[in-house]
Amino acid sequence: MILVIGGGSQGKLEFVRRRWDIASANITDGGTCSFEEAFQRPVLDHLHLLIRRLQEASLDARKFIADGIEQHPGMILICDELSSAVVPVLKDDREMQETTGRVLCAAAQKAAKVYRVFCSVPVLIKGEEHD
Amino acid sequence: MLALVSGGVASGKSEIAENLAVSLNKGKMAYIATMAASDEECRNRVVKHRRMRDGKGFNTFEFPYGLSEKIPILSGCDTALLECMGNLIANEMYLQERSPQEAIECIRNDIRLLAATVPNTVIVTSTIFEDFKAYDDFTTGYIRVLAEINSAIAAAADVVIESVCAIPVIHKGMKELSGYENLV
Repeated sequence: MILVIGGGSQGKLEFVRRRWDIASANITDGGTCSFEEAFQRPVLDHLHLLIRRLQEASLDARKFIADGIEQHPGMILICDELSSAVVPVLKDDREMQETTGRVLCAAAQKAAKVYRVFCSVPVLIKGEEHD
Repeated sequence: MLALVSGGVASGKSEIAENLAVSLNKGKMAYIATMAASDEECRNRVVKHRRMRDGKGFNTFEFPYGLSEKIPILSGCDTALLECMGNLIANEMYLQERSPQEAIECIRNDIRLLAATVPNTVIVTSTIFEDFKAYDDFTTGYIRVLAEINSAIAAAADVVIESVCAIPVIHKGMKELSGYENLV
């Protein structure tokens, strides 16, 4: 599994498309997909939105995503980093920030490579480029 | 060694800092807890962090503010882990009602004294600077103080580590950290 993280609108999806030559039909949008199809294509984009939707549906997002990764180890996951911000006042927002952080820590541990995209520049922070 | 470990919320920074402190330590080890647990959510966090530290050999001191007066108690310790700077500053500003400038002076003094008393100091802090919201004056002041203190500690530190998804990204002190590769 490959994990691609970074702030919003930093060019994460564009990097993934070009680096691994991915067609649109092979990308799932975590903001709109059904929970069943979340891990059915090679790339899952907007993982943080999937986490929010799982949380709103009172499902265990950490377990759901850990299971998805376990069953589909060849995937590329793309997620916004939400952690470097002031802790939100609203409890649901706080939970989303906390859960997203924990999901990413667990996912990064499983990942063969972790890229952090900064101003459209991908920086490899785990693994080797040419594996 | 003075080490700064920063990161966002739930980014795995505590574990990296604890592992670094344990690796550096050659004697008695202090854990300086700064959270003033006022509600259940805070108390749950305290319990979670205590569980994480269990069996690692820390002696816990709860110093939510006024650190300088308490530092003499730590003489004799080889390593101190302070967690976290974000709470300490919030407590100095909110509970002790210090202005941003007073808080900066107070904390700078705390850190100088701590680093002069204990051979190895590891400080956990927070990165909260990638946000788009307009906050009230108190919060804006708090963010500025935390940023200034983080920068001041980073300037004095031998080692600056950012935890990103529990991966230690080393911004300063690569050479000093050789031999401590297994931070997570």
